[in-house]
Amino acid sequence: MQQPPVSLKKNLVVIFAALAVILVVLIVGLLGRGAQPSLPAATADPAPDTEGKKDAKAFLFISVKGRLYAIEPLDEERDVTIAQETGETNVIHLTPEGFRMHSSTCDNQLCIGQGEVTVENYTRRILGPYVLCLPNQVELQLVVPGATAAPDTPDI
Amino acid sequence: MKFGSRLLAFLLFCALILPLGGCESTAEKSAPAASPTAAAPAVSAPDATRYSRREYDLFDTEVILMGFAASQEEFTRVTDRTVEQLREYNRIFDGYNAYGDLHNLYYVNEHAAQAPVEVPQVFFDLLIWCRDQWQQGCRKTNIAMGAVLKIWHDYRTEGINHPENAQLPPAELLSEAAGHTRFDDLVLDKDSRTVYFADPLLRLDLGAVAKGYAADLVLPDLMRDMPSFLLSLGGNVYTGNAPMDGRTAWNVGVQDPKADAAVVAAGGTDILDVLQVHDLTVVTSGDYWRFYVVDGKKYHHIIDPDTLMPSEKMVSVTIVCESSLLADYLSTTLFILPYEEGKKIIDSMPGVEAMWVEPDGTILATEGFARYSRNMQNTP
Repeated sequence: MQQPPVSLKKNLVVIFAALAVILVVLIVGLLGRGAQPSLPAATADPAPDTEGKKDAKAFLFISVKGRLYAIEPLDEERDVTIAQETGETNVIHLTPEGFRMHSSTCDNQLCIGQGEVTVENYTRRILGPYVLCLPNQVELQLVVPGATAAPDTPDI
Repeated sequence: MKFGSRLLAFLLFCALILPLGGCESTAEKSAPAASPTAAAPAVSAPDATRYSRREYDLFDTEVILMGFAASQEEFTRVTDRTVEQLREYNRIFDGYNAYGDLHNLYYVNEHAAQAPVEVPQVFFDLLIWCRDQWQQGCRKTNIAMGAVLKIWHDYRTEGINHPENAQLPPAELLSEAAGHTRFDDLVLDKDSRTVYFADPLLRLDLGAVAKGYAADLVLPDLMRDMPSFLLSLGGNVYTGNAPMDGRTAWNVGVQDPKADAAVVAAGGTDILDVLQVHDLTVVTSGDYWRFYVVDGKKYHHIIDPDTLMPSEKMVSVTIVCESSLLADYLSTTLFILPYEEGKKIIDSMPGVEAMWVEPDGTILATEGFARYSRNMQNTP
């Protein structure tokens, strides 16, 4: 009579252990993003903070030279600096509503002119959720989990 | 409990994106904000997922590739080859850099005045195509105008890098260069596949055609291996078969030449129209992309060969047709022509549609353009 609960317990233990391992792998992977050794050309400041992410309604995905480099939650007003080893530097200003390129070492400064992307305005922008700095090869993307796009939202 | 479920939700969200970490491409599942497919997740094709990637070192612009593929690996395999092909065409049509002994545009401009230069077949084919267009009578897109465009390029670059010193090129300098832009001095020999400049100061500029041509060249392989795709070479968009998410067409946004970030910030939009297309190219030439400012006035990069100044007849022209090369060529040509003359050219070409935006904001379009246009369909 005592056997079934025990084996159920065992199963539960195994399941929780497996879940725990998965969670640890996920968290380590996420933290590792901040300083990926495969991205020596850039360093993040500050490092992604997983604690703060749980309450953010949107995220900033930063790509440098075509590679995903960091994910920042839009949680509070702050600046994120992307300093590449080759000298290019971009500073992004984040708010709980969105972000904009605050400064860039690029020649044409078009990324500054692209203005602010917010949860409210990105569907009205020709660039959609993106701010692009082509000379420095820095791409900023607003990601709103669970958002659904209108049928006439441009693919490009 | 609440924290736990939120954390779990977030971790699941991360689980979606993590397998793609460090890759050059991202599955659009991770970017629902940008993806209309999120509204209708692959209903018609549960085995195909939408992926995308961006490249920043080709054609001095941003290259975007999207497509529906069975897996990330499949998408990467197909698009790696496309990017490699584009890289090769970028080398061939690069007017500013040498690549070993490759007889590219730069090499030709440096050497073709001394002796005929043999060039790659694709290069030669493009020159023949441009000459055919020229001989058919439209004299507004002159690839032999490199001497004039080089001056504008240099002044524009200087003006962008040092806005406080921005100047217009002196008229004498421009008209002197304009004396070395005769198309007939571009000598093409089909048998030896060589290019020769009969005028030692002639220079080629392929800015109006190279991107469109490159897009056409990579299409056959894409069509075969990933038929539902979208390729963008900095504003030159080519769409393959309709997206495999239940929609019947891709949505290609056309920028409002009069709007900017301030308009968006004030609650407006800088999207002029959304074109719904598949198996077609959409190319827009606008005055808002490459320009510099002198004494508070913008000077863009599309130069009228007759006035030697940036053309001010239009603020943007969009072409929809099957050939990206033709669309690229026509968007530049129509940008420089008055509406009536451009309309005549388009009307003579079956399957080619156009939309003009004049400086006062007036929008003109061919009758057939309306079937692609969100705005024109909704306003009878």
